[in-house]
Amino acid sequence: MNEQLLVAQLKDTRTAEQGFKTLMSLYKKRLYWHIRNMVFNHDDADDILQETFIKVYKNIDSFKGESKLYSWLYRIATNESINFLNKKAKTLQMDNLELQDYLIQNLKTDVYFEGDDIQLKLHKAIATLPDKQQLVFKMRYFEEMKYEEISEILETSVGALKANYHHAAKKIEQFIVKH
Amino acid sequence: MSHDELKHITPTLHKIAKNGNGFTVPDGYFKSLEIPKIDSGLSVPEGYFDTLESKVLDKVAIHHKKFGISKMLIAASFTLLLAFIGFKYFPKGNDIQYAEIENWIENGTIDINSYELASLYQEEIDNISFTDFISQEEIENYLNNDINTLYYIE
Repeated sequence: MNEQLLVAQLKDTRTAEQGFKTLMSLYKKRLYWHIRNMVFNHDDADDILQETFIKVYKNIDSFKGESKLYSWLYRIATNESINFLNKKAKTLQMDNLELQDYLIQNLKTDVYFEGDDIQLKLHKAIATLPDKQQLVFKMRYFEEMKYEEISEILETSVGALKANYHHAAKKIEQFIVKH
Repeated sequence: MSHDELKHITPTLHKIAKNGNGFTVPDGYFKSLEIPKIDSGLSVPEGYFDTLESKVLDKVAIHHKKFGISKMLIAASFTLLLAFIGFKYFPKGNDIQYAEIENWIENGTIDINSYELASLYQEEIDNISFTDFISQEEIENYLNNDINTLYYIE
């Protein structure tokens, strides 16, 4: 569906609900995996995804179309996930790295984690990266997004993203070889 | 240089170029160069995505209800407060600005608590009909999560 039409549908009270259903059906999986890759736990990802869609519904009038709709959605989802992680770190009195380690440890007993030692090692390796590199790496590696799409969402140049991804991949490789 | 450009310059070379350079690679060669991808290992409960839309739509509907009622309550409270101030403290016919009233309240000139206000307008409050039932838990969740509400509470 044409993005402009969808936005118009969402902004019109008579068609908003139908538009919202279309929006969710188009983006629910992509946004879910984006969030899940950041927060690891399914229930947390579910809460954040629902909150993301509710925010979209409540704030669609403030969407001026200056960026693409999907990049606006991803930005909301990313911010919601970061806020969640910050709150969780504060509650557990941990810094970001400790929290990542804690979340990855929890995966071992998570029924919705089907990975083995290799996957755990990969997550541990990603957790050692700076926040922005983690995000770029996950969007490119797990979500298989194009650099141009990531660039729109994170408002970073494609060149900088490629450099980010390159450094991230190198560091992860080194980590996996060492451990 | 694109193939179309070449067509104008030299049609013969264009024909050859169209057929490529003639080299081939063994089957699966490029596949063998790829680093095997490790997936994240994360999975979702069965049918999760099928029920998501209805869960969100339910929440949106609840939000509408709560938002409507809370807006009504806030508006009603302000109206009652302003009406009370108008009747009690200002003689009829005085042209009082809202800013002045706000200043009075902020400076503590008017010392009235919500119970006193409610008792004065008990009859009107009793006549307000609230048809939607909202549980204590829903109200608490709303108050804990809505920044706008926190602002009003403060």
